Amino acid sequence: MKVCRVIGEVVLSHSIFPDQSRGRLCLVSPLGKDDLLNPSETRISSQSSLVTYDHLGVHTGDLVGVVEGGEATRPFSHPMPIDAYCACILDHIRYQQPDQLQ
Amino acid sequence: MLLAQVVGHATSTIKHPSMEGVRLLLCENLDDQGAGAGTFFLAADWIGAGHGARVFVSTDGSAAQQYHHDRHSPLRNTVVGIIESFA
Repeated sequence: MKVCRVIGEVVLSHSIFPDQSRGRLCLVSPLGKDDLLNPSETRISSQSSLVTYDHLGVHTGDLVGVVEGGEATRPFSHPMPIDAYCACILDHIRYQQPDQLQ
Repeated sequence: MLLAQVVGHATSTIKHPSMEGVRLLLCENLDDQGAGAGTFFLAADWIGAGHGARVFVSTDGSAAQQYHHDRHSPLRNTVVGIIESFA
């Protein structure tokens, strides 16, 4: 599960998503070391951004846990054409650099 | 299977129901020399890995679902062992 910040949303005019899916698509940016050390709601990391499926109700600026791959479709009882799923909204992340741990 | 070091943790109130009560550890990938690779991920932990611990992480979602007894769980990364030493 990647730690990402929500940086936008994606709106489709046509899609193959089943009618019963009530989520939406959002654009997220994975966090790197600099982002963990100096959190900023406006910074976009150098890593590739992802489009993820969300039904938790995330907003721009939220920190989220994103699952990629086949596991992204596990929460659904019907086939879903996605490979990234927003599994949790993170309230707080505590990061300590390894050299400060011992 | 990933070699990683626990460098923190995360808390979440709003999440997939299957993740209730699951401890989320912030882990950094380690290279073959044991140095941090600068990429991070969250892993579910049921064995009590502490900060700074070097751990093995399974990236197999099926294993996580069987351990968690929930076939609808989106969990993928699971801490499966704490490394004492490696050479």
